[in-house]
Amino acid sequence: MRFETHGNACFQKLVTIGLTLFACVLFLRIAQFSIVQSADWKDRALRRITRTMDIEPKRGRIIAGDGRTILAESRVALSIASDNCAVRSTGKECLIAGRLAEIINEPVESVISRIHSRHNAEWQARDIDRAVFKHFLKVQLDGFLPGIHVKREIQRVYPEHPHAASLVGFVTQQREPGFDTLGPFQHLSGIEGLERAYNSELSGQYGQVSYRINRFYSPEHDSFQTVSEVQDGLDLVTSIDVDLQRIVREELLKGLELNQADTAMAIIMDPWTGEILASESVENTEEHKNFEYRAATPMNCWPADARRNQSLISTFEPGSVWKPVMMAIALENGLAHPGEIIPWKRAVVLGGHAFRDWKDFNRDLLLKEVLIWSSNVGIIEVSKRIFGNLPNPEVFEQIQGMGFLRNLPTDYPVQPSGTLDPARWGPITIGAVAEGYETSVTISQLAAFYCAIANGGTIVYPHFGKKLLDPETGDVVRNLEPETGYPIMSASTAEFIRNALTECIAYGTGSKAHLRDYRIAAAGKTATAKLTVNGSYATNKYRASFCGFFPAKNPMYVVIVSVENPTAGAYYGGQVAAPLFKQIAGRICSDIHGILPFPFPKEI
Amino acid sequence: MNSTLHMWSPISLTRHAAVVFKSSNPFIALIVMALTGIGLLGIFTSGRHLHPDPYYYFHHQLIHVGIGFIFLVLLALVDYSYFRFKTQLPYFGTILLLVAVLLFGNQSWLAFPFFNIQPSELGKLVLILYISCSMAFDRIDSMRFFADSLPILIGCISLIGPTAAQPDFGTALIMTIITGYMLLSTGFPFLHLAIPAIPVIPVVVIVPFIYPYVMVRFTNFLVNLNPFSSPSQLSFHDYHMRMAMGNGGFWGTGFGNGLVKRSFLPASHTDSIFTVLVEEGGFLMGIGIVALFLGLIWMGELTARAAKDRFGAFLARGITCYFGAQAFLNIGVCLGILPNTGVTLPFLSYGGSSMVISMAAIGILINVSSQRQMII
Repeated sequence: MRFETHGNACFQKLVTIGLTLFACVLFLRIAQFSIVQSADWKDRALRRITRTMDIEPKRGRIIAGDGRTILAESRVALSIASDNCAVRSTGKECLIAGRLAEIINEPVESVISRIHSRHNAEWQARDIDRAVFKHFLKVQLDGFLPGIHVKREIQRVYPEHPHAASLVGFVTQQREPGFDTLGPFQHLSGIEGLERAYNSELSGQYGQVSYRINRFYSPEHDSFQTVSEVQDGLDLVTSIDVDLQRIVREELLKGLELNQADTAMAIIMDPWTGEILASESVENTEEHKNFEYRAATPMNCWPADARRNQSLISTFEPGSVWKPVMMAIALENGLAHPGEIIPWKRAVVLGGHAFRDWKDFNRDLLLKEVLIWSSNVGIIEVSKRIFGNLPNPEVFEQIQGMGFLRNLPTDYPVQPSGTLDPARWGPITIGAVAEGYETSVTISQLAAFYCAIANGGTIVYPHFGKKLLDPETGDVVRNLEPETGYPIMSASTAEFIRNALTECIAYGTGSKAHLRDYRIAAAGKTATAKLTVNGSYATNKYRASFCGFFPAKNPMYVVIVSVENPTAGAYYGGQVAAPLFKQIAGRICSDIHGILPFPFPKEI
Repeated sequence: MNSTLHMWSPISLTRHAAVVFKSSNPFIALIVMALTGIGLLGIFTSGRHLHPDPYYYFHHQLIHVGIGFIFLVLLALVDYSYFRFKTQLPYFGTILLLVAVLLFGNQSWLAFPFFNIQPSELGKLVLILYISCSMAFDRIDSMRFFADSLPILIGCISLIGPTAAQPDFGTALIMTIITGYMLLSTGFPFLHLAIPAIPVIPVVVIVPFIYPYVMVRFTNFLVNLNPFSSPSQLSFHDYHMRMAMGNGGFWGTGFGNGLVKRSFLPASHTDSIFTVLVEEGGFLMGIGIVALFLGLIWMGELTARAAKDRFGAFLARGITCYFGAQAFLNIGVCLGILPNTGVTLPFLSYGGSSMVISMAAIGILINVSSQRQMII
């Protein structure tokens, strides 16, 4: 018996064939996706779902030379923020706000009002305690606080910032966008001072965490995996002495006021190691002089000219403090003898210009008296011998050998090299260079040279960094000693100049720098240089400088002081800069070393 | 003893049920059980990531399956010939519900105090019943257009029209396919269907311009078909469906380990559940689901061929077409060889109305199958 087939058999056959073909296409298509293209899609799926998050390392501390005083440190601040859209989308914001208010101990109304603000994100509690954080975490991990997050931020703190700001510098901080008030700090990066110079060491290594996201783009709690561990930045121990820094700053301000000057700057260096102990410049602006302003305002909010430390970046024509350089070159090349006598002249004429002394000596000068009395004529006579006996490039190289006209291997980020162009030398140059014109130097170059005089002839490179410490254990990771200097002059030359400079203070041009109250012999050289205005030397603008060190035998401090454009009447280095040196040195003696001045103060 | 039992007594009903299920084609029930089981697994794994309560969708679907099973058993026990002359109430009731959706409903939903229903799902089954009843008369070989064919067409359109107007083009498409297939396979004259269809064509062409999302789906479909289009050109939905299937690979990621379904795959518990299952079950799961539906179609066709009368055969064929069209439309969309229609996968997708109506339809099919001609 056959079935009775109901309906249109032909159409049914057509449908059967069509269905079979369609099924074959389906099978092939499944095979295409899940076998042929599978590898590509697996890769895409993993990338689609996995997200990574950078964890910012804790930036290292900057520590003063005593190893205790903290100049800059980072603190990790935890804050609670609400993702308002996420909280509102749960429809249970009152419940969530109630739990959160209990944790952060605030009225529920204020929490709710912040959740309902018009911003995407809102701070609920800034800088919470550890206990609050633990309580919060316990509740959040149970899933009772959807849309509430903890934000971790690195805050940079500068405890000694009014004194050492210009050396330590500051960092840039980006803010996470989307917050009502300012968002959390991110990506600290030093852009000024030591923060910039040692940025890579202080920064540390970012850590990375990977996690999966759900369909609401929020991370799944069980999916976090560490890709790379976060490495905190190293601690930097510097040579900065905060006490010296404070002394220098206060005395410079006094000198600035006394002399009505534009700028006063000073640097103190250890002549044996080249460590810069203090370095400061003050200018005649409100931001420089007002201590309260500096203490209350972060450095990145200061105007640009208030941030700059001229003692590290400015170059100037040195004037008479340059004379020991020429003297050293002459002595080293055997072109002058320590005992010789320079015959007296009223003036030396070079290239049509008459070089005179600052006063008529009316007598022949011993070689050392050229430095003691700062005789232009005497040093030009010496200079003539140098330029007459040595070819110009050789002179240039010898000056470079003394540590000028080149970048010293220092760790400070910006250091100009100074100028002296041999191609443009003319007959007048012999005199001008001898007096310290036509060339420019930085204070740190001068300091390095005077360190060599002080320590017996070996140049030392000025630097701040001493060592890098592991932030957790305190072990020394790396010593930052710069390459050792080389002798730039013989010990006898250094001793000759040192003795001359000592006598210069004892009875010469620098007698106002005498530390006789402290029973200490200092050595130093004054300088009075004309300032250039619009390409020519001004007749009434001067730079008064003083380079000295003390004690004269076995020196401990090299102090360079420079005052620009004193307008209160006195402008000679011996009248302006030398007293400033004496004030700084005297306060170092009394405040740091406890050497009280004679006569003793009444109250003792 | 037998005669003393009342027809509705439990013992009598149980015996009747035993007779029905023993004499029916067992593969129909087996395939439906397999598909429903797979669907529950799929909803369990995909629904976990969609709702704060991970078991929300699973529990609801269990309830749907339970209600559907009651309907299945009831309709399997009732002789399908009972519906032969009792189509009026379901037919006009459904039209009323569809009009109520147009007036009071939310898209295609009608809200009742404790549950929502989708009358368009009911419309599919009622349409099958209606066409079967209409075509089961004897003068089938000499149909006149105005007297015989046109009333049938109007009856169908009065079900399809309100559905399309909701607008629920997916269900309307399924109903159109069912209508066309049933009419043609039952011997409805081709020209009687083709000539009235000509004025419908401009209406269909205008739809994409009125509803922009239809146009977007069509252009996405063209990108899908182009073998040289890069994955970045795919639409969001197509991209993630392919990503799910590709991520599964040959062996699948394993139950509950799917990556794509837990994050971005849209409609992962309804329209895209096939891709979720392929991701976790692999290539073989995909082949298996397609094969199960092919088996269901085969069993439905066998049932239709062995049915004792024309009404039963047409019912079985309509129900087979219902499942076949819906399944292959859905899977075709998942595999990117058909434009997106928004059609669910019967027995697998989450959805109460769909599940209950599908189960009811299977109940009728089982009943038709239990009364098949004797095979000698």
